[in-house]
This record gives sequence, structure tokens and C-alpha cells, in this order.
Amino acid sequence: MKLSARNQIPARVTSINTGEAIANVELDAGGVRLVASITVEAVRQLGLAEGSQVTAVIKASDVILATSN
Amino acid sequence: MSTFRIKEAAALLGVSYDTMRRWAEGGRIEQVTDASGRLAVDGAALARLAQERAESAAYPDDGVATAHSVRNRFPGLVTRVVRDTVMAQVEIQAGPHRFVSLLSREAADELGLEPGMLAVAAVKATNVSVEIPRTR
Repeated sequence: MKLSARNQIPARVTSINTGEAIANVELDAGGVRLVASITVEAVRQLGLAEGSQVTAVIKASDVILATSN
Repeated sequence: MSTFRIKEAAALLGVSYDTMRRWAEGGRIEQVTDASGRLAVDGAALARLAQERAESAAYPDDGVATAHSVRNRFPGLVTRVVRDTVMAQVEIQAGPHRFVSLLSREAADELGLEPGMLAVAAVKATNVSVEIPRTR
């Protein structure tokens, strides 16, 4: 599959907090913590569980930058 | 309860007035009368019929439907690609719907986007907003 998204980050699922409609999936991407809010339907369809290897995909126009000052 | 005139219902499902009228008369969708006493169909029944028809339709198979979490995926044909030095604007016609994507020039070049290609417009569920038309 070829994706237009410029940021494709390999990560491992560390925990899944499941609500009624949405699940927050916590990821470890080489020591960086990422959180994905996705539908419970998507979690089931992808068969996600703790330890699953995934790719976090973030469209470049959705990335915000901050500086320290 | 939402109701739709036969003409509106036909347009929403992308079928002819005659087809929708035949479905209503033949009982494929229940006929009701709207607030003004005119022939109409029930919105919830129409939504179920639309869903049934979509599930049985022969859409192009992109083969990756289960590979990622994006809930909204619209396979279609690329109709237009405009590139500048940094960004690209890509238009995809998926059934009756035109999707416009703004992406980096780098992404457009890497995917080799050009008119006539099969492509999937994908939108994360949290990015879809909902409007209620004022005229209803």
C-alpha cells in the first residue's frame, strides 16, 4: 500500500483504553509515546492488542511545531 | 421523524424518480405521507435501503480495506492534479462525489498521481463534520 502521508512511524502498542465508541491506543515509537484515538470498530478490525506492531500515520499538515521560547 | 418526497429520495440514492416510485408502490420501501399529506418515504427506512444497496454494489476493490484504521474510504478516479513547488491539489471523483486533497508535492510525485489513476480518498472519522441542511 502506498500512502500520501509523509509521516509513517513504526511503533508498538503498549496499552488500549477502550470506551463505547472510541479507543485510545498508546504506542511506543522508539521511546517516544504516541496516542491514537481510533474507533473501537477499527481496533477490532485490525486485531490490535498489547504488543501489536503498527505504523502510526500522520498527515504532514496535521503536525504542529513548538519551540522552547 | 424525517420524511422525503419521492423525488428527494431518488436523488439521495442516485436512482431515477420512476425507480423510487416503483419501489415505494411495490413495497420495497414503505410509503408514508409527510406533514403536508403528500406521498413520501420514511428517512430511517431510506437510510437502511441506501446501506443495503451500498453493501451489495460492485465497488473497485483496493485490497487494503482492513490494513489501517481510517473508517472512511472512497475509491475513485483521479480527475485533476495541480502541482506547485511545495504542495499539490488532487481531485478524485468517487461515484457522484468529488473529493479534493491537498498534499505535499513530494507525496504526489512519490505516488505518481495523474488523471485516470485509481486512488482512494481516505478521511479519519474524527475529521468528518456533520451538517443539517436548513431547508428541511
